[in-house]
Amino acid sequence: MPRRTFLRRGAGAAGLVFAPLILPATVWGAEGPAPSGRVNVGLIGKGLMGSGHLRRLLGDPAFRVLAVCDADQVRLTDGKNQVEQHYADDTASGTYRGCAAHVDYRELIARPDIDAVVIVTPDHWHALQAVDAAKAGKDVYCEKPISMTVEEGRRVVEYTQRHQRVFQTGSQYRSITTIRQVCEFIRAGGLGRVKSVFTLFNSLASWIGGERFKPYARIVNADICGKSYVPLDFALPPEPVPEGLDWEMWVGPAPWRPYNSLYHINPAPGVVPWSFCDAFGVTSLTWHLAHSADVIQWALGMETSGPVEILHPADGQFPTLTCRYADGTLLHLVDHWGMVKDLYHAVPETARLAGNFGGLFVGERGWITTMTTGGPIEGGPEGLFEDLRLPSREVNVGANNHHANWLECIRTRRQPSNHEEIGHRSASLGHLANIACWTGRSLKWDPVAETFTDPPAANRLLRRAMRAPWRI
Amino acid sequence: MKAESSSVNGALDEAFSQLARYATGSSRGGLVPIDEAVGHALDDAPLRATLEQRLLSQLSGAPSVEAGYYICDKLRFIGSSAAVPVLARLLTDPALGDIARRTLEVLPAVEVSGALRRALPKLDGSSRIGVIHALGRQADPENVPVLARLSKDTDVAVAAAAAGALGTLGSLRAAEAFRRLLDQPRPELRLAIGQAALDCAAGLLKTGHPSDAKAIYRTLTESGWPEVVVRAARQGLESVSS
Repeated sequence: MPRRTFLRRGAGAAGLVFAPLILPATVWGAEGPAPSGRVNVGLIGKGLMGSGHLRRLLGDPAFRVLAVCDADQVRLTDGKNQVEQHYADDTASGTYRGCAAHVDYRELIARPDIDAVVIVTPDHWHALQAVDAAKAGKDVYCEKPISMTVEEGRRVVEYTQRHQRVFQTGSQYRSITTIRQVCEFIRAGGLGRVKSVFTLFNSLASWIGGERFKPYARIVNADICGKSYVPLDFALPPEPVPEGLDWEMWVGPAPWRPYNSLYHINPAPGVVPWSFCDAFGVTSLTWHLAHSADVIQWALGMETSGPVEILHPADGQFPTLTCRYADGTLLHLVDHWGMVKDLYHAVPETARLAGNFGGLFVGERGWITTMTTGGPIEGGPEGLFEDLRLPSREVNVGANNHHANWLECIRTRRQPSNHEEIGHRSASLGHLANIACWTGRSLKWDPVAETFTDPPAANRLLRRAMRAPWRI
Repeated sequence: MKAESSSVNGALDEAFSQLARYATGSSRGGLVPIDEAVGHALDDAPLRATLEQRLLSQLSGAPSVEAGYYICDKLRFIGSSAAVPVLARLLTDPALGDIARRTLEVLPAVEVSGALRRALPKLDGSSRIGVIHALGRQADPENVPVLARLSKDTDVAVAAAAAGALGTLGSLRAAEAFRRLLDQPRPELRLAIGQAALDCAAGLLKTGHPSDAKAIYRTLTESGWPEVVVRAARQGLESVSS
């Protein structure tokens, strides 16, 4: 980008963000929800995933959506209208005008009438908004991954606990009845000692090789860059910012990138369009690994810890990136399920292996899957299922109590099933894997101190600074 | 082996030559050899020094915005003291100032702090705020008086950022500065100062100074502080006492 173009941007919309919002102390009020027990919520981010959350919140009379926030005026107005239309049906007059619309989330969290927020923004916003919400005394439901770096995740934990907030990580797959039962079975030793686990970890190939990227094929070089497992930045050409979109606010704390629709728009049913770009997302961790890591580390009893080694295939121990836990359990990250059979020979050839958002566990007594979206739970030998006593092997995504658990915990002030430390550790697994890919070597990790012991130089990759004036 | 190494060097030379021309619309694939070399250089000091010099040489030569951002990102991996003067010179650059500051902020070099302090008078607005935040990330006692002075600035944004940076420092000297800041704070800064003081107390706890943390918590439980700050301070007091 020529410097002149860059400067024109700086002189314009930037002014809106450069003045930090100093909130009046009086607006920060009392603890917990109203005596009625109803929880007043603000939705931050009304994209495709945000729309799903909004439907869930509106469908539950225990929540009342008081405000919506989005940097995109079109999405914002749509959200506000959706809320008001929904609540209008409950009024005698048939009209309702009680949903506020904010472009800046700091205005939303400053409202004393809001108890809790649901954060459904691009990844680079998650930690900052979660911390700011906690500091404003709001309970938080935050989409995964909750951080862009290990340090950001640790900050989320610290501020949530300092302000005694109820934080639920948006990895709802663990709350599906069948998945929960299988995880508890594994955790209780149903498989005997777990020797190895497999889950998916994908390169950029299919993402940047897709139809949307065709006009930019020369820039993204899918044949070369598609081999990367970590997000990359591409010199994409600036495009006109769509009317009503505050791009300065959308970019927020991330490194500046001129607008390009590839970051912002992914026609339904596509989600997380930004995930390929190093400024805004974290590839596999955004796509699915945050979910898989959550389910896997829970079943292993490692949900508030992490691996002690990340073994890079270049070192020759294993053919794919592998995490070793302190008890010796190995988590192999594979490009596709076929590798489990062809490369690792870990399960019978007849195993179907499909789906995502979980893993395949191999233990002393047999093997079992915890994936969603790929059909029923698989495993063997058949005797395992007699011990497991699943009412059904089907995995019904809709049958989860993730939001309900958050609601209950807001009322009881207890820790939700997927609290901040768990969300942080799930995200950390992806960050560690990405750092191993960036450095092209194996790493030794101390999950208590959250530092690399070998090589110590890798510790500098645990954090990033934010674009001014943003900071945690 | 020799042939392989010479082919790697050839690819790296070609990548650096592409980097010199890198701009909007350029092919990203050509830079991959630099990505790989930088990753491998993390624990290879001679390679790190060579790569850093090549990156700095291009950064000094008025690169495009895209090349500048790319180079700064690579310096985040391997930058050393040698990168400080080059990055510091860019702090006033309207296009690359922010990414230069972000890179400096996480660079493990003692020279960073002084470079940031020297740049402060030349900066305003968001750039100034960014450098103030960055000073809070450097464990340098000399930053305390600078930040303490800025925390009294008439510009509310500057004063709030400076208080925040003092909180991030979380040192005994920062705690000393807070003793004065917490005494009759400006009303519009109560929240920012209160939150920053909580940060400082948390830092003191981490470094084994519970009684100093306790003193801050006690002050923040007094009347006049925002409710969220008071609640967190009470929680802090409880955790120190238990």
